[in-house]
Amino acid sequence: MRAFAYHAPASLAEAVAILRREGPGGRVLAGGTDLLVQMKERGTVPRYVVSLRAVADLSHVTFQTGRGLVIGSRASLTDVITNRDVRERYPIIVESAGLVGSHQIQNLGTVGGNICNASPSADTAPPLIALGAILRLHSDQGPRELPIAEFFTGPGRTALEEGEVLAEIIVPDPQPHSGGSYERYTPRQEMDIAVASAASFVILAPDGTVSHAKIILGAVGPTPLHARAAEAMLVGKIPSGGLIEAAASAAVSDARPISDQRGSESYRRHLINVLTRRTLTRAIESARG
Amino acid sequence: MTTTELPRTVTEAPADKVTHVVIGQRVAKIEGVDKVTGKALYGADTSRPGMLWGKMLPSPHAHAIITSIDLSAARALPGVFAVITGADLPGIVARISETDLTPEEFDTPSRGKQILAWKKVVFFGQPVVAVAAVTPAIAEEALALIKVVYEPLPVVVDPEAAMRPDAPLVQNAVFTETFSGKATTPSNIAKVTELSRGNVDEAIANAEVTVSGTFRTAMVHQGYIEPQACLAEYSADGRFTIWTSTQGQFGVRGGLSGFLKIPPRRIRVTASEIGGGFGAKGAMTLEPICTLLAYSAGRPVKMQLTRSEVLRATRPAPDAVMHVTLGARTDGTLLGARAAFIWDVGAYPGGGSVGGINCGFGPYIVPAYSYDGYDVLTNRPSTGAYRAPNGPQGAFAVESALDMLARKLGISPITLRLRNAVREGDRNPSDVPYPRIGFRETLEAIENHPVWASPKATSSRPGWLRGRGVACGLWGGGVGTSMAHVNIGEDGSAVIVTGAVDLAGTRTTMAQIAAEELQIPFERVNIVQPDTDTAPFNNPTGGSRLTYSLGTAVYRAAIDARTKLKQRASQQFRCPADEVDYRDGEFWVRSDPSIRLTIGQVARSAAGSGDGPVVGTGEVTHLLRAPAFATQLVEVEVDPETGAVQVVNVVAAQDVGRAINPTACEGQIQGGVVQGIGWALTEGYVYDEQGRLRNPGLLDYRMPTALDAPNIECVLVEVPAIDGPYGVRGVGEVPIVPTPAAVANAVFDACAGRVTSLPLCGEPVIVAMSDSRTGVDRSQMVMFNLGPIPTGNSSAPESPGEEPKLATEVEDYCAEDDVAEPEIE
Repeated sequence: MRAFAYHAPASLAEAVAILRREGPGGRVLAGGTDLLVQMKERGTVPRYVVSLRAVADLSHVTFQTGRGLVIGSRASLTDVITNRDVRERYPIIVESAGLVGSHQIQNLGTVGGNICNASPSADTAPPLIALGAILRLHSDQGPRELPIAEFFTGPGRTALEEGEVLAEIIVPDPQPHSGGSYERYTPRQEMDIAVASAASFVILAPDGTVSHAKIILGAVGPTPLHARAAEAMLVGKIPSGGLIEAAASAAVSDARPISDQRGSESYRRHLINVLTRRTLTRAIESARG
Repeated sequence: MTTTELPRTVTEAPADKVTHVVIGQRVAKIEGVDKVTGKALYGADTSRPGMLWGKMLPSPHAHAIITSIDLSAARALPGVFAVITGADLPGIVARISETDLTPEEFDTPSRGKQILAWKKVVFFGQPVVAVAAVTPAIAEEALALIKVVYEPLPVVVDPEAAMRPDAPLVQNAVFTETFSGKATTPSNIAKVTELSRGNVDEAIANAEVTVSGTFRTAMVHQGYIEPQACLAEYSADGRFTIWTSTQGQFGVRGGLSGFLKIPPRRIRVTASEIGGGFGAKGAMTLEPICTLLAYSAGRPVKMQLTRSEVLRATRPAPDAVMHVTLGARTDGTLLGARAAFIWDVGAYPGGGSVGGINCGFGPYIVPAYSYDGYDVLTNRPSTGAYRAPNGPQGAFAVESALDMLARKLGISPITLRLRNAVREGDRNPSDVPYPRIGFRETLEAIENHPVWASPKATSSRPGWLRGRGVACGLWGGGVGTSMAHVNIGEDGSAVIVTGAVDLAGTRTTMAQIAAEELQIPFERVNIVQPDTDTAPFNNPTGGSRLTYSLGTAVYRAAIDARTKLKQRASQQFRCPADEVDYRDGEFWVRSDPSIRLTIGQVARSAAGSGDGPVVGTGEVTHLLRAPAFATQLVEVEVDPETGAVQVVNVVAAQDVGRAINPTACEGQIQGGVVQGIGWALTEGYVYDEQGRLRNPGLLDYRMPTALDAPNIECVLVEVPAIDGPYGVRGVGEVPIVPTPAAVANAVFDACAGRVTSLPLCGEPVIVAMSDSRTGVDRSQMVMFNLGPIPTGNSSAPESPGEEPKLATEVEDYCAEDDVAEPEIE
């Protein structure tokens, strides 16, 4: 690995000040489970690294009715997975965070890092988009909020501006009669990366029709994708096996997969059909309680 | 060898001796504590004062002419001590050896000379320049300052495409070799192997039933956890000292001696503890370039490959395209077989087809056959030995075809195999007779196993399907030279001195053999593996030869020590040696058993009197090969919607001859099965059209993790080998051979999709299921017009039966056949 400068600020304010002072060419380190591998194995060594490891006030995971779930950007995946509020109220987040890497990776890696690394196959992204999460970003100019759906701009690229750091992920309060589910396909049982994935989240109206539907597809486009045609097909209708099948087929045309070392375009489309159907079915079952 | 009268070279060890005390015990690994406490020294763990770090610049192209290399900025960088290109090699070797070298000698398409590219690069990631600098970071910075101008050439990474007459030539000076001669125009077909017996056309035409298929396996890596690492030092007296992670330190010494053109006495090699080799570290990788950097820089140089370098530019196992047709009677008796195996051997010739044919067809009696093998060059890295080289590929084709035949005939896959299984005296495809073997016994062990006898379970996962598959495998067995000393200490303990590398627990099994024959407790035996100046000679560890060959040497050395101790005791008893008896650490005079001395007392006295202290020696140069057979039963679950496959249960029966340490045998079998699961489900090199490896990391080169490893029950079958001590056979290679086929056969059983290409998890299962529903047949392979190849003589070649070659030339050594020759002689 080639030489680089390493900064370990003790506060968020100090971190953004360093980013402003040092300018382009830096990377922010939270858990390091993606960044260090990129530096060591792929040789993509940044000019400098700003570590958040010493920033104490970014590792919180808190829930408060009316203010939703707040995940500090340095909270480890394990912090999130083992949090009682998250387990009770946001099982889809537990489901997806629990798939990232191994226990060792989960102890070190963060949800914030999984998001900022902006891999199209990041497991925590589709559920957080489906749940309508908001990101709180900080720079030396102060904070701003951005819906996570607008955060991803390409593989490894985000809406983070020069000098900005992700501080918190805010997930709205759970809705009554809602349900969500996430599933991915990997060739290995675990410790693998999704060939394709899908998150489905639905809210049912008192009459049993779908009032809100979000279907987010992973690893089948440059960013996690909204399956908008599939979502539109569901809203206002009573879910049935046929409707779910039709939505799953629509999701296939929403996907924009490529062929690469992880899977062919046609196989990824095939998987999107299966995964959308399965996650939608489970999401609706869970919304019906 | 033309008769079935087979010589035994170890007659002093009756295989039916059943009174063993230490042999057969599950003792713990001798080196286990060092390993689990982190004290063991692996390849990269040794350092020297003033040491530099070596790094290599990889080619970004799979095939290109090197137009120019600008090293000026790299050489000017402070901290850089040496910068070497392929063109520099002859000059440096000439200076070291003080000989006149023709540069052309280094410009040959040879695996052994494939140290740095010269004039052109032939695969992606091929090292082009090597540098040595005071830190790894400066070495990398120096690499970044090197400017190489390439002129890209057309690339061929597919072996079938490479066989076309109009394919780009990977090497300009490789001419097709056949049994009858060598072609005169260059070709990517490096070698054609033809084995035949009887009239196969007639046999297949007259068969009551035939099956055929085309089977493909991927290029796969051995996946050793420890990347290659080497430290080389040159001293002013002209000697080189090498520390390296290798399967054979004497092989490295011989290889370097040939490469540097200096005598072995100028080279001292210390093999480190090894973090896995599986055949790949039987050939040299870093040693030559590390040595040249150390000489050029005048300082010790350490090199350690990264994981991506390991995957891009070491020697993986060849991918293969295999067409098989079987003809049989309706009772399952095989009448004829026709096969064409195409091996993608990578950018340099070597490897060889015969192993895959002998492993694939060797287990069965086939009255008429024609087996053609093609070694084909592509713009991929040179391939090399990987655990039972070419066996898993050959068995995948043959055992899949047998499964198709069994289903077509409606008979049990075990019945079919038992009907055709070879026995002692039958001949393998290279016409070599088998000595006593335990193949049928492994089939019967599976047939009688409760898992096979019980009805198939259903999956606990909704929608998932469960299936069972069976496949068999053969490894011919490894032989070669081994030697050991047994030093008897003044307390009656023993230390074994050997120069062989322990890949798989052989230190422990050697200590068990010595303890058994010296009749002392296992705990009183230690074993050391010092460097090539200190230890007695050994061929590299590979081909499942160590327990068999080194075991013989240790056995003989222990008996030699015991004999000498008895003679020393007789001096103290003042009676003839043949009147002294010995048992369990005590000597006595037969006529008066009350006169006794312990082994410690004899050793202590001998240390200062009589004929002196005792060192036993034992050596072996050539044993009769002891073929090992395996039959495996695999249970899988398949998600028919995604094509996901999970192996949930394996029963692995294997003839181990005699289990010296059952735990060690089971560890080997389980390791082989898990690697076979990797071949079957998820592992494979993926190249793009430009010949760039798309998955040079363990994220996308998917080896199984602990979560992918199922329950693996080992059934140790013990049919004693006729040579060597205790009836022992090599255990390491054969367990990987049946697994890929057994998994594919189980997948068919689960979902009715016949998957013919590996790795199969995911899309191939979906495609196979769809083909089976729609009746698509992908079994026909297109054979290209092979152009002007001299046709070989179509009879089976005379088996050479020669002594194993010693590694005197680097290219000899790097041909993995020396380490793990698959043929049975």
